Amino acid sequence: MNDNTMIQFINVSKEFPNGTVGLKNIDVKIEEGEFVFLVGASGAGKSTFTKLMIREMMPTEGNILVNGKSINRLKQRQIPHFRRNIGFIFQNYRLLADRTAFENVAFAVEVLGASKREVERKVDYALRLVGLEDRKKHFPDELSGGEQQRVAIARAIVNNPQIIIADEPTGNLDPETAKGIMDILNDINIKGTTIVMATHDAGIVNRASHRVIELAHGEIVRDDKQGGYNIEIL
Amino acid sequence: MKFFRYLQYGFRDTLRSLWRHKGMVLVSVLTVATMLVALGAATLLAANSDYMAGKMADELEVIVYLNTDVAREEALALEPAMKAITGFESLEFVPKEAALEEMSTRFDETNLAVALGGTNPLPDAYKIKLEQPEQIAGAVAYLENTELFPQVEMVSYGQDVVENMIALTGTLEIACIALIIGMLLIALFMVNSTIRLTVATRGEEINIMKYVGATNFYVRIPFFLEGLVIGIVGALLADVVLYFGYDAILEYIEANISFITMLNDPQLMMLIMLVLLVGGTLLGAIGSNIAIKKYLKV
Repeated sequence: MNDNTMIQFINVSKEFPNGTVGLKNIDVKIEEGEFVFLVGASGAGKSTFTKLMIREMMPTEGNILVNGKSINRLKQRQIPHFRRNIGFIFQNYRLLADRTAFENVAFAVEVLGASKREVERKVDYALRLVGLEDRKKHFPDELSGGEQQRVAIARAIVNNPQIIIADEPTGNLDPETAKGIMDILNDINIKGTTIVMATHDAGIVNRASHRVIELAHGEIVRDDKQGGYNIEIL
Repeated sequence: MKFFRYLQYGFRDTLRSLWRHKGMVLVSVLTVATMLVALGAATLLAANSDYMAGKMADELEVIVYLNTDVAREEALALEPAMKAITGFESLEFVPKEAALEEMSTRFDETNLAVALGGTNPLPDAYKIKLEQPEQIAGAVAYLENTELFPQVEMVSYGQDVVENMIALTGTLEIACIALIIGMLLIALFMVNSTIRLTVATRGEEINIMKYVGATNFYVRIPFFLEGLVIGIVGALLADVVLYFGYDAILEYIEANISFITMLNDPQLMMLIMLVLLVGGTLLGAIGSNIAIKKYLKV
């Protein structure tokens, strides 16, 4: 593995207890600072791929290296520390309904044991980056879908992680708002953060010209350096 | 330093969560309180049954009537043999003169001594108390043995009352133990279900916390503290209801049903209240910790 590899799957397979194959013999490298789209039909293995990356589940076979370290060997108590280097963005935002935008972002910093002043500084900065500094006292149900997703992005980037995993982050948004979210993600990527984004949005993939990994039935069927959503587009 | 910050954030989150989920918190507190009141009431009922049975047993006595022709010296000489009865507690010799006097008080308009022409047809007697009602049958058999006690004319002991009481005390004891165990199981089930429900509504919160890298310890702090608060407040509420409720019942019974004497033991009451407080606290704290376990596996 060269020094720039951020994520590496080495012959990874995942079979579930009911016999369903999630992933089959996956060999892939993602470099530091890359923006990678993970595409494929529902059930193709995208979620399994992301869940394995954050050690939410273990592979049946093979090894996964993140930043040069095997995450298969992580002990249960080491997992929280490992995850602090990864930011997550979900399709349905997954904000805590009873906390304000500020509080939703803040608790990602508080879990590190940061001081109150540090929490305020980091959260204000993250909310400024996503353009929500004037909405920080609002609760999620007082924000639009796009604003909620921006809060989720602020939460994902607040600890300055090396990797961001985004699972259909524009899935619930209109095209205009989705474009705004993609602009923010691109800005984050330009600053050096590796982004792996699972998506069904062909327009976004085609416009961005990033690397595309396509999964089907748990296998990588395409890996294009600057691909489109469908192979026909190329 | 980090540890104290975790605690600081934990306390703040607990207060915030108690306030923002106040409806659910209230339901949990009331469930804990209701269950503990029921458990305390069952215990008090058991204690009262025991107390009343003991009181009735205390009043039971065996009366040994001697033949009227037995001389006073001979009657008094029987005392050591009476004291040898198994389960003997105390005895009282009732000379026939005292018996006549006692009987006279029941017929206050008639002068019995005059009516009887100065004679006294009553015998000397012994009133014997035993430690346990179960020992009465053996004592009666012993006293009715004419070879040992030819001076004895008759032994009276309220056979029906004794037999019924022995049966009733046994049944009551079993019923009370069953009631307490039953209430305890129901309380555990209800409180556990309520806490599980409270935690389940916040499973998403735990999930997200785990995704951003919170340790299990950090996640547990506010839930543990919330469970603790719910347990303590619920138990205190139960204690207040039990204390004043029982006091009101005592007063009512004393004023209106004079033939029933209920147990009035402040020490026992304090003990029950303390046990409920400790039990409620543990129930809340441990219950919430067990309930969040499955949400931590992310």
